[in-house]
Amino acid sequence: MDDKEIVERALSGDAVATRRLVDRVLPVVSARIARLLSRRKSRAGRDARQEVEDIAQEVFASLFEDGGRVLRAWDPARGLSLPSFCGLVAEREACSILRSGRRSPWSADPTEEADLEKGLGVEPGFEARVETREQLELLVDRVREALSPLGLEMFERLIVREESVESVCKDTKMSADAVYAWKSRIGKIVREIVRKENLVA
Amino acid sequence: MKEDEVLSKIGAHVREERGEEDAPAILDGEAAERIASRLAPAKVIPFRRRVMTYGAPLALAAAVLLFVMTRHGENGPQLPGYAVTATGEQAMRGETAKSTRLHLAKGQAGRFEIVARPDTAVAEAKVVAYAFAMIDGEPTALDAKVDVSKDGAVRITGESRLIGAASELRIVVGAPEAIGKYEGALDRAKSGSSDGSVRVLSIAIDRD
Repeated sequence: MDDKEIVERALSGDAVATRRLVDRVLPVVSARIARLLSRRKSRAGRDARQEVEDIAQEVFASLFEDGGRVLRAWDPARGLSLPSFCGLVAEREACSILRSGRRSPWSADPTEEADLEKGLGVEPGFEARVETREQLELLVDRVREALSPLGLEMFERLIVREESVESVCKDTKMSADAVYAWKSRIGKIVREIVRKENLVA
Repeated sequence: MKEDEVLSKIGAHVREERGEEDAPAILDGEAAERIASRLAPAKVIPFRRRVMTYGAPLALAAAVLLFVMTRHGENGPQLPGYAVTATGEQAMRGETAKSTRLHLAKGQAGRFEIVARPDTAVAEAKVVAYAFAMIDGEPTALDAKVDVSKDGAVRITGESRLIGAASELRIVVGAPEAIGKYEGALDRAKSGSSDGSVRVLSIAIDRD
């Protein structure tokens, strides 16, 4: 059974496939949650392992909820492995939970671009103040929270892996215009967060 | 710092974070089993926070309706009785007491919460739950978040407006093998009949 089949079967309620899916991605999911947790003080009296498991449970719930909308957004043809994709979701969910104490729903569509345009269109320049590790972590967390599943994949490729637009186009079969649009959109999200969090120099 | 520099710094930061991923497994196979077993179809989602979090508030609940086990089912584990509390928006703000009836203020865009706690933990049994809104005697899947704890407690939260014109909510609780798939839960909700392995909990709705 390949990963795509595991996903399909798990989403149709197959308990064996669900367990296989969890086994397949839990190492990456739990590692990323643990790393994010280690940056923050664990709540008093909470066992760290239990906290990782609780958040991991939320991550899987978010992957499965609404008919598996988020999990179905994973497309192996775009080149990202299932564990890597779920790892991105884990980072996003964990950021949201740790920041607000509750889950935040996925945006149905890649960020509200109209809102971003509204807030940014008149700004003449962009000069951010991201000097400390705390500022950087805050910014990264907010960016993750603002992105849809596809947005997270684009963020991973374009920003984290620093892949060229050509390379992303080749792997994902997306047009260059679409990839450039994503790059621009991620940049706008960053600018908006910088403004909102008062990280402007 | 210009936008490109910020993006570059973000990328470097994430790469640095990922450098720790070769660490030994944090969660074992038992954790994986617990997580997988709670990923039932539909909208059954486990508690993120342990049900103990809710223990104290529930102990203060003004009214508790106890469902006592009277018969034993043939399929699945035997379930204990369940105590149910329903909380509308006002009660969630601490303005009114919790009740076994759900009170909804007319025209109010609030939220509700229903918690069903077993008299004793269901131990190793895997329990799932389905929530239905009853309209003219017919069950309709309730658009709400359903959480099931390790101990078998069920919490349902959602927006009051999504209850629509329902006069009653019914929660079907039991082991997957006892309930069957969604259609089985639907049949149970319609009949309203409980047995030792499947509980059908009823919450009446009051409106202003």
